Amino acid sequence: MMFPHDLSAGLIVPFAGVLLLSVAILVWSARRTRTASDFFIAGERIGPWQNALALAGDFVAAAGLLGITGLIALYGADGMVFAVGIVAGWPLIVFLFAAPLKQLGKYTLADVLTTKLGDDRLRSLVAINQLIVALTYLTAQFVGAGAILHLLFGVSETTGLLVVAVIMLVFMLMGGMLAATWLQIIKATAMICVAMLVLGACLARFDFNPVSLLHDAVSVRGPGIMLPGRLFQSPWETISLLLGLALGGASLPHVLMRMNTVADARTARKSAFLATSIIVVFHLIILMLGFAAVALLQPDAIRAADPGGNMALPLLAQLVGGDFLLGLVASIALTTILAVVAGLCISGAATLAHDVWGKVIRMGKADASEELMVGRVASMLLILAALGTGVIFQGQNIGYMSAFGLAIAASANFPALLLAIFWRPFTPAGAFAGMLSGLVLSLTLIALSPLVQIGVLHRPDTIFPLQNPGIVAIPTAFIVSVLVSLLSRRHRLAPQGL
Amino acid sequence: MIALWCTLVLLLLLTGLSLLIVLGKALLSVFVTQDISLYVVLIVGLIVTFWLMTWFYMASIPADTASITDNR
Repeated sequence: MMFPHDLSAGLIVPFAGVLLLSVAILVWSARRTRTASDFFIAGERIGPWQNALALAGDFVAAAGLLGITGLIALYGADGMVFAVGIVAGWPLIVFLFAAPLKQLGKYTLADVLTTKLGDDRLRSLVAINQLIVALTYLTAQFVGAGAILHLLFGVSETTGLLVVAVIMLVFMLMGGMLAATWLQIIKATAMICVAMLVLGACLARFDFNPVSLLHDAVSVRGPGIMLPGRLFQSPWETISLLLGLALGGASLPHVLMRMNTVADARTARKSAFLATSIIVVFHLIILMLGFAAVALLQPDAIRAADPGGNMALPLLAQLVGGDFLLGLVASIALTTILAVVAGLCISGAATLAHDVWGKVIRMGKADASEELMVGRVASMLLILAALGTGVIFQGQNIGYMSAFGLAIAASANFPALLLAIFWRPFTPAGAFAGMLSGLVLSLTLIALSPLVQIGVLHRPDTIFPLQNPGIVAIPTAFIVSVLVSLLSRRHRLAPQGL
Repeated sequence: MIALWCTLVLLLLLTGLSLLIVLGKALLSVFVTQDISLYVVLIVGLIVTFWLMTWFYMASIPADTASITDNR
């Protein structure tokens, strides 16, 4: 089984179709993007179902679609744990953040925290936090896109990164949030349809009996494939990963920002609930696809295509549906990455334009058109920065890289956001200290992690044994936030919020 | 308070799963057949439980309430 570096019609047709659809969305949305509100939050005219699909599309990135299928295909049931962590972030958004964020009616996380705590000095640190989260997550998406183009078309990964960067630059400079939202809506719908199509084609080989599929998976690899222990050896690693995925997912800036693309708090919460339902269904399909890959593919063939297992789903699609299904899966995976990059860039651009340029540099004197222009330039700078970091990290596992972005968000953003909404004694000093400690600690531990020390720097050993810093950085940020808040309570500024 | 209770339960479930995966291998190995295992059932059950918790939360609060615990 070979990947078609010699391009076949079955592969080209879906790719061309997806590209034409993206261009159509771009042209359509460019005509409707005139104001800063249009660019950053789609003019608040997105409906609950539309927003739910866009939210689901934002969240189910290549790491989920390709990564989880690959992990199950290689390691069995242990790979399912990633799905648990990703899905767990959604109830948290519904419980804690959806409605309060919409009710505040602010563009960015910095707006939310400064409004809640009544201190504008927090804005710069929140902006730095958000930009680092966006850049880390963007880097993982870029590396994934480069790997897909490399594996499918035989171009170098650096060329693949450049192609993605150029497409995104054009897309972002013209479209804005409206284009990103509609791309997500179409992508999420297409992704679920294609995943069901591949699963249907797999189940057809087992007389449409899922139990028979699982039976064959166990027959091929043995009962151990259904038991724990192949991927996780330390409880600390597992807890750290799950906390990072769940709490980080609940505090990703580009996801939270989508709460402002709808008309009111009720619609925000409803769309988050619908998104949760879509994400649960999608992940259950992905889990079955993982076991279908166990039953139908050899681990050596999966590893030969990609050592991290990321190409298990495309291989499976090719096996059960030929080049056409492979082309569909690959084009949807690539669109997934492009769409997530678009959402991240809008979020990062909003932070730079609104929080850093508008509020800190221009001290509130910038008008909407100036912020819009700065937002477009900021998108360009973010994409170029991610291109640079993508080149440095190419060849690394995108699942773990995405988990880095989530762990930083969980450490730097989640404690401050949660305490600002639910804990009255929380002070600006506590927020500042908590966010700073979460950011610095998570970045330091990531730099000391096996992926960076061994994978990137090629050192023989590592100081910090865990891949994910969540279990250390998240509790530390909470403790620092609470302690500093209690110590500084007397000097707390009066809140100006709700 | 319901939002905080739901959050606490969710985090406890995640922690419980993490501990069970590594420390409860023997327990999870008790039930494994040619078709399915307790481990797989547990993980799928947990994902469905998260969805049910979200549904329960949505059904238990007034539709137009921003956050019943938002006290600022």
